[in-house]
Amino acid sequence: MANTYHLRTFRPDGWQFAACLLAALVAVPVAVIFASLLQPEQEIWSHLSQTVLSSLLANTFWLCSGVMVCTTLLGVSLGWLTGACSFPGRSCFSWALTLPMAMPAYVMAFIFVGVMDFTGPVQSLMRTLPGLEQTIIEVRSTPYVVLVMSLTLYPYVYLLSRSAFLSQGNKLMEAARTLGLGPWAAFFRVALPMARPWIVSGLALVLMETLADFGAVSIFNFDTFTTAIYKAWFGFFSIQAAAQLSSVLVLFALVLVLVEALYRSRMRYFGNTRGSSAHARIRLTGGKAIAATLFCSSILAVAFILPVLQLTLWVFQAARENILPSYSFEGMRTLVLGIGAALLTCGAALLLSYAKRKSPSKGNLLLCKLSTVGYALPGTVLAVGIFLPMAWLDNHLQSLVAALFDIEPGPILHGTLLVMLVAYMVRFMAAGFGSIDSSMQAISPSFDEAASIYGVKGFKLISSVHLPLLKKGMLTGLILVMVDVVKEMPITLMTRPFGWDTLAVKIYELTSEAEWERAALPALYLIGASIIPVILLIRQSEK
Amino acid sequence: MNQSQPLLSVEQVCKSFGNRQVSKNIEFFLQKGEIGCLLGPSGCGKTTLLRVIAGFESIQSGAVRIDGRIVSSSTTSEPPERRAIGMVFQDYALFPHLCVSENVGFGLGKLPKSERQKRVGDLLCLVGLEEVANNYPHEISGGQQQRVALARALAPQPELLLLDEPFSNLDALLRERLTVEVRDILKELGTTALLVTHNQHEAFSVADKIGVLFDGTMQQWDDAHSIYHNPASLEVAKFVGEGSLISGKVEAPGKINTALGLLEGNFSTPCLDGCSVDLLIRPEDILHVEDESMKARVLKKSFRGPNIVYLLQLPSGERCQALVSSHHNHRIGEEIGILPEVDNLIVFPKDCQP
Repeated sequence: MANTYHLRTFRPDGWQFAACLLAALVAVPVAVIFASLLQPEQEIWSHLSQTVLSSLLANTFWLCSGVMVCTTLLGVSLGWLTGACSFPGRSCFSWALTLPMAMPAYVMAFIFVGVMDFTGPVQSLMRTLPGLEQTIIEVRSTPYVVLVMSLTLYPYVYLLSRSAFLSQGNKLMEAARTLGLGPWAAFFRVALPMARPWIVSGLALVLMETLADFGAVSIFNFDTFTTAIYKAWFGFFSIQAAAQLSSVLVLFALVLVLVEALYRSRMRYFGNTRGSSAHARIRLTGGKAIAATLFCSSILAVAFILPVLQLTLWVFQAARENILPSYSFEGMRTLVLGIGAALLTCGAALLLSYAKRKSPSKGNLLLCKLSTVGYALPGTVLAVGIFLPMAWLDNHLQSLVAALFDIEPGPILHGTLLVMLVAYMVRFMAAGFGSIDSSMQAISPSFDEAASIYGVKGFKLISSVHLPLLKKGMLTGLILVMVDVVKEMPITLMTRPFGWDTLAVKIYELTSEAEWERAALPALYLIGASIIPVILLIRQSEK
Repeated sequence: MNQSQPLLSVEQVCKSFGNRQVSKNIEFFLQKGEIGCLLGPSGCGKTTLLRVIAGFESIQSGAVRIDGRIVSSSTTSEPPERRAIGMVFQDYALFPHLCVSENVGFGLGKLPKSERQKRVGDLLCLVGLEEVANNYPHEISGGQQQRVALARALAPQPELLLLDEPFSNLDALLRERLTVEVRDILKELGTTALLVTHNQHEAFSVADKIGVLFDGTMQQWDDAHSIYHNPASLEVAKFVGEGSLISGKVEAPGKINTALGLLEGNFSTPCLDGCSVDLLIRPEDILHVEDESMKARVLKKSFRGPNIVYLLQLPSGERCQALVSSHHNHRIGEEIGILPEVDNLIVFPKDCQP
């Protein structure tokens, strides 16, 4: 009797093992890339430094600094207006200003280039007007890349700084006023410094995305590490050079992860000051109110409404010229990949979350951190980091099969969907884990104890108590991962099996031939899909 | 009459939020160096009044003057930073991103650095916080945070210090100690201060002048002794201190016939002979004398260490309380001898027919 009872109880070792395995899966690509950092290949580096390295570093530096300045200005000012002030349309702008998150940077980029290009409407118009021709700035230049990236990435800073200003309340501002500070001085000496942890965390995310971006910079022919990695591998067929370049990028990314973690931990002390519930907004009136409304609506227009209108216009033009395929195959493949990757990733996230719940030891928490760090790894780096160990494994598998069955097999893992799905999983684990784990944390351990009084244990406990409670978190996780995969460009481009073109890949191909009208429809599909998680986010933050 | 000009004068101030009037013709004056206190139940409008004086709220009519200068009226409102005030907030509102000494020095931006450091050091010494000068607000205790808030508000040497329920976040023991400490500090510096509280013990131990507010009206502005022994209205009498009302009839000036017998003393308000009145009996007005002929039955008792407060039923059926040394421990239901000793007759005329 005692024995059978014992058999039915949980074995935490199983969860632990699964968690270790997942963490290892993430750790391997990172470790491989790091290994290549520790073993710099003199020849490659001397070649790189003679050719592209200095321009890569300069481009990356200017891109990152520019995007940092612009997203800070945009995000903090909009966050402050909607979080701390009141003006006509504020509650509407408050959520609408997050919509540009649904716009993949590469879509924004090709719309911008399409409109501002030599053959586009803006330059054509300017050339007809005397005297304006000299003022035309070449569209493929640093300021425009910075502008496009900033318009799609500012919501990270916006969302975080808005919640910072919301949580501050106005008690501290009032305290500053009684100590002799005017409203503006109080903002710069109290509200802004207090929001710093939020702003810096937002900026860290923005910079991660900037460093990871591949699609937008390719459209602008703006060489950064991600495009250099792609060219090294697919242009010069030098996976080693790609690995060396990746190691630099991964170093930047890890610094950002640390900065983000550091500032996130500070939010605890800076946030929700006691008794700040009575939150009085600064009432903007007259000219100031009009200026605030105009500013918010113009950002919203430039970053979301006008681009979507332009895409719609192009779709109609293409339809009129009968050059508009339905993209149903690409759409199907994208959907299949998205669903497959979402299921795999969320399954793994669920395992990880259980391991953490079963024994929330320091070691397990570290495993969780490690398993979710993929969000900071640029897709190009990850593709290289997955490809190298996979090729090694493939070689060994092939020789094993050859030895066992006396046949000459082709590549077994290389170029299969499995590689691609694993890469997606590593990259997007954080999105799935975050939403699943937050609903897991809401299941108090006393639920388990209460259930065990009625003899409900093991898998019965999971199916009758845990799963119903986890359903919402899992659904959110699935949607988030799926949409991320649908938008993903570099991993898909670099690891896809032959013929597996997705919508994102199609956009890449069409835009590299300046076929803006034909790229508009898949872009609209992507925006439509990406709006779902943005709406989820908005609903969550409005609660 | 050559009375000096008050430091703070609040003159016929009216304030409403929409249709709800929260201050109705409030008027009081505070002399330089005095500590005033606005006392009242929550929702009586005392915090709003403090925020009016601080400059966070505008007023519909009336005026607020600080040192003779109009800072609030129906047409003008000086911003808080130009009123030469300091404020201690209920939740202290310490800046979480600054350490203790930076918090205290926050309002001293105009001073040169060396002077600023000296002033911060002096203030931290005054409130006894030199040791935590470099700690952040979340690293120190509630009582220490309270003292930082006080030091920060005092640092720019404001003409008027406003304190919004400054002790309400502290536990009872600490609260008692800090009220005395704060009063000593304010008196030492000669600071004029106005405090808001719902706790009468706090008001009694800190304030020179107390204003009792009900429902947006100032019931009485007086010193603690008068508020307690000569309350201006029934509401004030009920809110401040304990006590119960018994009915009586005025026999002659200074004499009332009640269930406790004929009581003689000073009337709080003059009454005509033959008037029916309610008389406020404080617990300390009833002495317990074992062999007194007048008896009352114990209904309830509440033990308070040195004393016991008995709720007694008089032969007339009316009730009153008695404060008795806890050596005299009686059971509920017992009849005990009492001796009324009422010097201040707090009377509220019911119907005065001469």
